[in-house]
Amino acid sequence: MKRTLMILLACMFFSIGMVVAQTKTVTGSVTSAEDGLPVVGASVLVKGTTTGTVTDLDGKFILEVSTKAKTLVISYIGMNTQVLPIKSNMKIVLKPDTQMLDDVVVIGYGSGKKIGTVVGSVTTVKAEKINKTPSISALDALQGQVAGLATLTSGGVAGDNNVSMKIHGTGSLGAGSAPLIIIDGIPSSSSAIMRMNPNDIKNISVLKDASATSIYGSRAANGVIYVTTKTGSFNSKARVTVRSQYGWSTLANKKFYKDMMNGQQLRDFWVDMGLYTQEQIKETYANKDGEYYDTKWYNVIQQFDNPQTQNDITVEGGGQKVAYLLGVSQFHQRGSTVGNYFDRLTIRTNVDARPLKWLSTGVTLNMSVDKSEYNSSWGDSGSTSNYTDGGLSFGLNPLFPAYDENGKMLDKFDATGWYNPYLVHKYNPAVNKNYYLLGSAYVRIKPFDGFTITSRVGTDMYFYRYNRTALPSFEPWNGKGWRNKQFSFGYSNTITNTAEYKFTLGDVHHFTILAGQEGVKSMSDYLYSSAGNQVDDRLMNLQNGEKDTYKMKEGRGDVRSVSFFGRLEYNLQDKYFFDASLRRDGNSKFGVDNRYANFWAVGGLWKIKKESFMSDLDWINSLDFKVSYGTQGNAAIGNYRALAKMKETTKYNGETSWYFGSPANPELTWENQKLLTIGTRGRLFDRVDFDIQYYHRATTDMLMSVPYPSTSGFTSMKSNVGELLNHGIDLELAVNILKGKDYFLNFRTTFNYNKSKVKSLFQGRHRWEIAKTGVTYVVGSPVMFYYPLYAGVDPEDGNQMWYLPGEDKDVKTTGETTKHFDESLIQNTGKKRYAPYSGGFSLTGGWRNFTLSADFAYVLGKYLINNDEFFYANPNQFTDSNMNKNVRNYWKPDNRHAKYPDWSNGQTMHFDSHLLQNASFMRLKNLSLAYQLPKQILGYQKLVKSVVFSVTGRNLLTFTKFKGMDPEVASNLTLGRPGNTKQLLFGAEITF
Amino acid sequence: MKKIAKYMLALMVGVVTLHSCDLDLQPRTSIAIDESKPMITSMSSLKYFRNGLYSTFRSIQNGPMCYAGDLMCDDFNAVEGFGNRNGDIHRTDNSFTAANNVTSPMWSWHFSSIKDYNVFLSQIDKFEAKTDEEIQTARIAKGEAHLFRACAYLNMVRYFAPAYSLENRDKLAVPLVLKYDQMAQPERNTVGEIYDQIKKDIDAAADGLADVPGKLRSMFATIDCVYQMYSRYYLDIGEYEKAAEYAEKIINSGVYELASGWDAFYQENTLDNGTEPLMQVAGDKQEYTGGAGMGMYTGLAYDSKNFPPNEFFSLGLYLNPDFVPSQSLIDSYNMSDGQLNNDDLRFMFWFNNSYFEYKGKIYAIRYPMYINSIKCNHPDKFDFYPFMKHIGNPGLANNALQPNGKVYAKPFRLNEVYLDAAEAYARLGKNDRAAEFLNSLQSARGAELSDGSMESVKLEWRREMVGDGYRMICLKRWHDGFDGRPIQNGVKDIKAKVIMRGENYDEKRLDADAYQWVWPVPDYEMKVNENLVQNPGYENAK
Repeated sequence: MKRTLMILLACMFFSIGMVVAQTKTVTGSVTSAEDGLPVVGASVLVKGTTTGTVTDLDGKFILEVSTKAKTLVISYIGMNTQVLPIKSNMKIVLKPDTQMLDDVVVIGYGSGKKIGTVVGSVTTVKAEKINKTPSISALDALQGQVAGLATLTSGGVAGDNNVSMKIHGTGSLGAGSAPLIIIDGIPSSSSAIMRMNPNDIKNISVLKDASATSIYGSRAANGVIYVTTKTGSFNSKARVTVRSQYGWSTLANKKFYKDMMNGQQLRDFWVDMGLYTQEQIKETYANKDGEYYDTKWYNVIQQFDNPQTQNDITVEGGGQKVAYLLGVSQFHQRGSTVGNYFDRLTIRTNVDARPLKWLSTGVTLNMSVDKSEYNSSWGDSGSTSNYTDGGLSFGLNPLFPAYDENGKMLDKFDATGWYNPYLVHKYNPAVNKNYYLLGSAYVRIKPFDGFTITSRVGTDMYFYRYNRTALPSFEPWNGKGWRNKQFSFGYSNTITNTAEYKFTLGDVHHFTILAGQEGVKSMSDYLYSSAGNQVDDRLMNLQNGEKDTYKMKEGRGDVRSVSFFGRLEYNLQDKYFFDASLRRDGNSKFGVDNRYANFWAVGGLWKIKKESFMSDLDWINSLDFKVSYGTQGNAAIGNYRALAKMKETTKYNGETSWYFGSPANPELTWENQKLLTIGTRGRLFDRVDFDIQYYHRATTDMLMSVPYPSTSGFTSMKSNVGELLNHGIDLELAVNILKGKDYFLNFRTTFNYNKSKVKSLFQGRHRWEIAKTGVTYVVGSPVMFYYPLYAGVDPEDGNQMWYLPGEDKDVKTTGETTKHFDESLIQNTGKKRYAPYSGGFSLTGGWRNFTLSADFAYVLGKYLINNDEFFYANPNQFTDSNMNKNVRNYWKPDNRHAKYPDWSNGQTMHFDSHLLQNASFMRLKNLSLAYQLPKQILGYQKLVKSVVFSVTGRNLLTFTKFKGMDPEVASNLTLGRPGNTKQLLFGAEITF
Repeated sequence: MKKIAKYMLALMVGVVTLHSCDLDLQPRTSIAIDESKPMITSMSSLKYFRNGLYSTFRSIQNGPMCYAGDLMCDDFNAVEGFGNRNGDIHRTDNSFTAANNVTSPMWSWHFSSIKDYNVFLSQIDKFEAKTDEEIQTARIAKGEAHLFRACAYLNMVRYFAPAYSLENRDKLAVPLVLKYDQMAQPERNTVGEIYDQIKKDIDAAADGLADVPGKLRSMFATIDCVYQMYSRYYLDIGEYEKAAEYAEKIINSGVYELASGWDAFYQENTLDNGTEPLMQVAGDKQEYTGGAGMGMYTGLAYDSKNFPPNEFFSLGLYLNPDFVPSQSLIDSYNMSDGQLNNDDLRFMFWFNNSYFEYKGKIYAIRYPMYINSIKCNHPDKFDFYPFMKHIGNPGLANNALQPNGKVYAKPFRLNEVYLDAAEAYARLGKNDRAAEFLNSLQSARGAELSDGSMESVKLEWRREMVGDGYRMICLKRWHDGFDGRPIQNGVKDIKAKVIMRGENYDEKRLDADAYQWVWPVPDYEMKVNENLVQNPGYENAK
């Protein structure tokens, strides 16, 4: 497939034959090491000259060379260039280019290209990094793999679409910051990726600069993630791959719970700090024998060492006219919270056909069904939770018993209220079921050479059902049940039509012209219904409830966009590349006169190594310089925001009630971005690959929710205001440390530093604090945490102190202190909301049939409000709760430099900078060891082609100073969210 | 031929591209409108907007509007383990800042409702009524919008400004917003200006509702509601003759009657089928969405395992309140000899500590009383009074067996009218006339009859209106403070921690001149509106 695409590019290669006196004739053939087939159009050049030719249809060449010529350079795109001494009748075998940063990409509507010739900044993550990943979303595996792509997985709830991604910082303070995700040419979503088998993915490309993204126009401001799925190859034998992985998943940070006090410690602490007397404790907690319980609640209400399985079968192959790939997969994961699981089945069908010379067509389809249950007493990536039988269960009092005298688990854990979470879940099942369809079909016509018309239609469609039932037999419901049923259906349908023309003028001027059009129609439709007071567990339908408890609601949202675009690519001698793109987009979300906008980009690539003056520098294998500049848009806001609306409010005595529900903003339009990227990349000593780039990303007309006084009636309105700047550097480096006949060791690292700055806000404001979040926008500074600054405990009297803010709240002032807490003590903490550093590094090694790879990912400068600590280290505020062991280190006359204040005088902790904690972390994201059975063992039979055994671990190690559950949460605050899980899976892959 | 086929196909592709260019999408869950055009265009749209007014009005009749002013004062104590719910306003200490989450929403909810009234008033003027029915409906609806706006501003000025007096007339109150303008950054108007506007709005309401006679438990505003607004207004500004005059108009109309006797009181308070409401805001359990938020006084929960039914009681429900009555509130119902008055319906109903009746079943409440979760699970060791006034109307409870504290809102009610009249006469020095009204109320309630002194008036306000959100407004109007929230005798000496103690809890003292009587302008408003000035005591917030 790759090769067929390359044929096109091969046409561009120049062939210059010069007849010089005293020549000799060299003949030879070029074949591919991959399949032994001839390489058509490979370039054969006498080193240091322009004398050369290209191979013919049989891969053969004949070349007249000067008798002085000693060396030939044989090259072909996608293959490793070979430099060989001239012999007669040469047999040259080109190996596929396995350069570590390289691959072929199909991006930006056009036909596929070798990545080395793409002007835009594109980083591709290959299948081997994505396959076998023990998480539901392939996106999780991107963490640390691409410089400038910050990936965070917020927690470990099974079935939670919890991967958040940002390319080159947070681009908007009011509209979305997530990259545009495109799967096989169809704009899609991260939840669609979660519904795919990661093994179906061939590669994921991250498009970062204007040259690569501007063609996507209005939604490209946050970069583009382009997912290509695997396809079968024409003229290839059928291949069946069976993969099976089985293993365990458990909470990555169980220590968090173990760090709470046990019963004895808690009792001693309470007496010590004077909260309760021995007598009070005895009266309240001792059983009739005068003994105390010591329950480790996490062992009672959470589940650890959960089984996880993932299995799939793929069948692929192809004939002359049809290539196919069919796959099915299964995935099962259980979360650490009681009742939480996720089950997924997928079916994939990718078929390509070329029935006629000028016509090709194909279909990619992914269908999935998944079923999951969450435990609603816990938060997830999108929500916090403060339920004691869930997210705050670390505070459960160990002095309560979990089991009765006979060892039977109690229904209820104390006299007043909270029930065994197992029962709560058992009697309140909430089942999510999702059907997903992601697919597209295309027709491609080549009326004449170099000219291609492609039309593609696709959909990203879901059907979701939610059934929640509160069974009447559960004691607290008093014989009355409740039922909630929700359906939602939605799609994003896309049609894309492009025409591409590739041609060459005068052998050295290569042109590709692309023109296209795209329409996207999105719809979401949901139904909510509930009814209560059902009386029997077996009849829990809505209609079994009481009529006056019936509730229903439906919602609907539509968005349409229409676009026209074009691109011109030009390359001179495969040395100088230039491209320019233009796109015009219209979107229904905006004001009637502000719906259309134009986006454009220009970019250049100079392959410096191809210059003659570089030819002597053998240690430089390649060296490129790139620059691009362009504009993109962002429309990631809600629907109908530009319109004034009349709405219906709660009925009055059953009668229709209207009110003026929202004001119009006809000015509403795109958020705009200007992006400049300069970079260089290359390969040195045939061993080291590098890629460095600088970017400058300026957001203007930012779509923000502008606050208004409540005296106006509406406290916020989406408007185009404010400017934001992100700039920084990306660095990727790959080194082949060792390479030998049967061993290799490669190292690869990625790094990004992003500096952001708010350039202006709304209403001429210098600063805007988002109430009760700690998050503050300040002109001239990154988004910051502003919080009362905790100054520790006064050694003299054991009281807490806070620094008094100076005249200027923007300057962190740590002089005078006060002992009176007040939210107005808020000032700059000097901590940034968004972490400036992120990256990763990998080691991959192989020896004979073993391969080992370890991928680390890190985020530095990350801060997070550890809201859980407010609950686990605040004994006077939560007088019934268990506390972290550290609270015992509090001020006493003989412990004046304690961590915590004098608890004996009733002090409580506050929301101040002591909760704002360093959440920088490094994780061993992936550790995998694989062993491929030697060919000799399989040699006696023809059925099995290969057998690979593997062990894969995820998040096996975490390094962080963060004191809470999990530092990886992509939010300003963490409260009651289950932490990330770690996995260890054993697998086998058999190919037939 | 083959080439033609190719081009045909290419052309077809091109045609498909010209699809769906219509970007004028309309929302489906609301109606997109052109703001410059009239919104009320027909009798039916007038009706819908008028219902909208009532729906908005209903939304500000419950929640903190009914408890914030009480929790701040001396009637209730927070229990241990109350979870700091409403803690800021209960303590009114340093934590009661401009960012507190009880009074701040009250500001924005009121202004949001005022926006609806203002939009309606500007739209109704654009409505070209043709038929008599249209003209009459428009006139009434206009009167209603003015009445509701007067109510909203009366609440706002009582919360966020010093009490009305000649000296205070020029003190800052709240911004007077009479027209919807999204971009406006209004300044605060003075107490005098707000009261003057309230008067104008009541006058306009009187004009619109002149032909709408009073009706018991009316679901729409009547002229009697307007009279009660006059009575409140004149009592606030100290024109006592007029306050009494309007109150007496209502009392003498004969439409309403004070509830007397056990059954009538039960109908009045729990079943919302009483004889006192001038207006009872309509709705059903679904329309009364948010709940009154009164669950904090009872925290009723169900547990039949620990409290199995017996031959006397259908047990199962138990109390787990956040706030419980103070001893001084309990004592206020005592007779002059200091003895408990077991005939006072209010005391018996609202502070019932033995059992209550609900849907024909009797629930014991004395023993299953839990405060601060397990710490009071030896309830037979103490004697304690919960606050049961807002146990809730069974008709508004979601779960048929478990009341949830929701009752119908009664924004205008006869008992308050009696108190208005009594206070007005007491202020005028006509104590015998004051006594007349007090005694009517007292004898209906089974209380000992008192004299007509201002002291008796104050005591009756406290006893009658407890838990309805009036305490702070009354103390402010009388320029009284309070000193302490004594803990109920029944738990004073319990070893386990039951009631929050300390200078900001049971020992709380607020002098009549304490700055906290005037609530802070919300922190958010201060930030977004540069023209606002903060009330004294909260200045840090800017």
